[in-house]
Amino acid sequence: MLLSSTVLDRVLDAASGADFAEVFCEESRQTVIRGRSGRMDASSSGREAGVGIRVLSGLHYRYAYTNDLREETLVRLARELSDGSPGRRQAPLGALTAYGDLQPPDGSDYNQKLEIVRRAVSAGMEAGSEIAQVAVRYLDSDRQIFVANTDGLLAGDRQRKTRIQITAYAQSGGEIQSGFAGPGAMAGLEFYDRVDVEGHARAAARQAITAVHSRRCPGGMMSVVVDCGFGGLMFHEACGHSLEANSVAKGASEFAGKLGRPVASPLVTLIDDGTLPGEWGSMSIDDEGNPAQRNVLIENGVLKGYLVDRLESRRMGLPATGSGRRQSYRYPPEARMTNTFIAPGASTREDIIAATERGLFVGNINGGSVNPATGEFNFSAADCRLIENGRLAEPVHGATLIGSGGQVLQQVDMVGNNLVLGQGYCYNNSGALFIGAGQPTIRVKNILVGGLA
Amino acid sequence: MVRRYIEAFLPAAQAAGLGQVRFHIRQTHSRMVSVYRGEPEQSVQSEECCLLIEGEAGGYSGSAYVGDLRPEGCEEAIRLIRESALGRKLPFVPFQLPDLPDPGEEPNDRLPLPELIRRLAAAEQAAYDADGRVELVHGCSLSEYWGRVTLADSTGRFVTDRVSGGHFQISLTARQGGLVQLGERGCPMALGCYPDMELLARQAALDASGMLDASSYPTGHSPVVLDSRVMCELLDAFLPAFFAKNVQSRTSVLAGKLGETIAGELAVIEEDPFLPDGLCRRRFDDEGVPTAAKTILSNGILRTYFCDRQSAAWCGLPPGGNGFRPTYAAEVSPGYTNVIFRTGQLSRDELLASMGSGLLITGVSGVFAGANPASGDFSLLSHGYRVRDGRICGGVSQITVAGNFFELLQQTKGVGNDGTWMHSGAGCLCAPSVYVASLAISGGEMLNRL
Repeated sequence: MLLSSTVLDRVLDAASGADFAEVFCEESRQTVIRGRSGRMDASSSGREAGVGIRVLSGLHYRYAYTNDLREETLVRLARELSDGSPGRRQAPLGALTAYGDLQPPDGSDYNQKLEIVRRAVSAGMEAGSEIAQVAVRYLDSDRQIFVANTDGLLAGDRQRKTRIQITAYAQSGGEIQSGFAGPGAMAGLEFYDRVDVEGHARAAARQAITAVHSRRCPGGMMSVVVDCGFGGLMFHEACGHSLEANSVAKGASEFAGKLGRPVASPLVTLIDDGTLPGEWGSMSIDDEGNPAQRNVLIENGVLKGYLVDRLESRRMGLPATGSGRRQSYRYPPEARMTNTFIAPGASTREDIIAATERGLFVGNINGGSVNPATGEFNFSAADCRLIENGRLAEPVHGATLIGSGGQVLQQVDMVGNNLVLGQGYCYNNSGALFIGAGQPTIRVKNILVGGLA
Repeated sequence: MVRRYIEAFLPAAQAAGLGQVRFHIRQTHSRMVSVYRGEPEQSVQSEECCLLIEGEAGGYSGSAYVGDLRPEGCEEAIRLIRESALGRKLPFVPFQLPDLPDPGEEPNDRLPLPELIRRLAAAEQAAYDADGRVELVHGCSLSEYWGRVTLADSTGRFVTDRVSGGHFQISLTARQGGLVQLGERGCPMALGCYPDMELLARQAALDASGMLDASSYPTGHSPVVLDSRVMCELLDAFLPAFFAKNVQSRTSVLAGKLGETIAGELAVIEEDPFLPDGLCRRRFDDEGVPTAAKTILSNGILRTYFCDRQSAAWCGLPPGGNGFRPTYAAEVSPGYTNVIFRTGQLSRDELLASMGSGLLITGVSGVFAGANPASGDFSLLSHGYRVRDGRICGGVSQITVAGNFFELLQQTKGVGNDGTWMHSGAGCLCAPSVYVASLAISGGEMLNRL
């Protein structure tokens, strides 16, 4: 452990004038390697260790963090946070509950990682003469966390993640367009034994070449078919964030106060599951020390639950859901998503496209954002084609999907049987987190497409 | 702690056969406080010292970041430096650190915490008082940071800059019947130079309540005035197209266009690290190159690119003091200090008058995903106001505004005198409102009914 039980005890004692105190210890190693055609750009690798101390007094929290691991520094910070009243430890610190292998890693296989980057760059560049560049970012992260609190909890977890992000750029007639692939997992280097790195690079290159020859997407209201995979980010943004406790608890969410009420088409079942083995957004425990959970948020269109962390569980009177997450010790935890997806339905992808007279087919979603208070969301769509007479027609680029979460959930009128999870990042108050987002192919009957044309 | 670490590291590095060594040291303190319904809700404080070490192994350059300053970690850092040097085989380029006087300590002009909380609570109340339809102020916070960046080498030579800043943010919703709208105002600040938070809170309240009658807008093309805050967002998204690194790797449409006309004459983009009201005061970049004022774009002609040491060498340009680490642990990448889209002579009312009829866009969302710096394309969820005969006449929401940033620079018909600052990466930028001849609008008949 980064800090001994004795030191943890002393820091908690110093902080425990409040209702509740918690010490979060983190030791992490990370390697990032960036490569492009003709060279390795740069890399960053190293180790961090730091501590975050949090005290709760009612609905007010105070938080301090530092990478100065000396006991005197931590005790001083804890005293500054507490209100100076006598300690109120609920329970003595228990024995460590360890999740995963808490031994420090040995060796780093740097050259093996470089080779993965080189393979991706090379395969992407060879995919067509119009490929001007392939930029690859390799990441691995090995994070050990320990959480101790005044309820007596002492839990530790080791979380290993790796991902390769491949962006291919195609150039034609002064125009540049890009394509992207980014497989990742809760795993170490062994992940690349089962991932077709070259295949992903070629897929990114194909997307870029198609896009550079495509015309600008027309705008307006239309039916949109979003393909299986990371298109599920649409639901992450359209309603996932609005179901996180920090929005709901203050009433700053369009879904506040709607538990048990229909909020979506009956075809929609939305699940957040941090327990899925090996998935990018998975973990054994959250950053408050609670075991990860499978949380059904919407079931057959009815709102069933929220994602709740310790602080907001006080405000909401609901139990925490294993969703308290943070990027690192530099952030206090908040309820955040893990792997969020729409459960599969009955239709095939082909059925859905054939049933669409005119609309837009979205192969992937680059990213998006939402304001939970109003539910207004936006997504940048990629790998798009028009749908005409129930068939995929010409490719287009530059499409953005906008709307409000409540509206789009009601507009889902077909759900496919081909659930796939994708990998990405989510940015919010408690930092940038690894998240999974997924869905089967779905159709939204009517949504506003923002186009360049 | 950092001294103890370096004292342990240097002999170990020498014993392991590393040649020259450089250190990038960041010491930072920060605090953040927010209020909710008149009471302090969150407060966060920090103190950190971290470093990044670059070292020479076999003539090549390797690096390791060290956020764990226990000296027993030296061996691991040395291993990482060796591995990255010998794996990547990028040459280690020695350079001389600039000779600059110590900047001294940051003056402590920060408000005492109780006074800061009082001012934030007053701002929150001002928002409620500004319009009875303000339903909830769900965020009212101020964050500040201060510290030092030091570059040092193994000969004991070093140079130090101060880094500091802050940001005020308020976000709220206004409601009328089933209609809800959001109002947000953010303001970057120099440390200790607090903005008029109550004024910003009232503006946020009026932004939200003023949009309660908002409706969509027909799909088509329209003349548009982009508010200064929107121009800041666009400039932030598309400045990477001006990075030599992206030009050299053919991921910018500005490749090969140095000296060519790429914009209208009204678009002037400059960098000035010594601007009196600039928010970034770095005297040298994270590669030890003195920062310098420069013109990127003037009279429509592309004058230069932002260059770090590596990309400058590739492009045959002098390094411009534009190599920065977004975090202490990150690799150097192109960046900037204070970038300014030069203001014009027209007030915003005059811009609207010169446009006549069209749209005033006051907010955009999702820029990080909806703007493509390689192509210049953008398509963004937007809101603002209808303008008829130069007058604002009703809110517009649930639309997208789309175009190409470089075409926008060519179609700029008027530039406002209302520069607004925002933080951007390691630096900051300032842009005015801009009148653009035509952008693509996509709309529908949706209203934001909850």
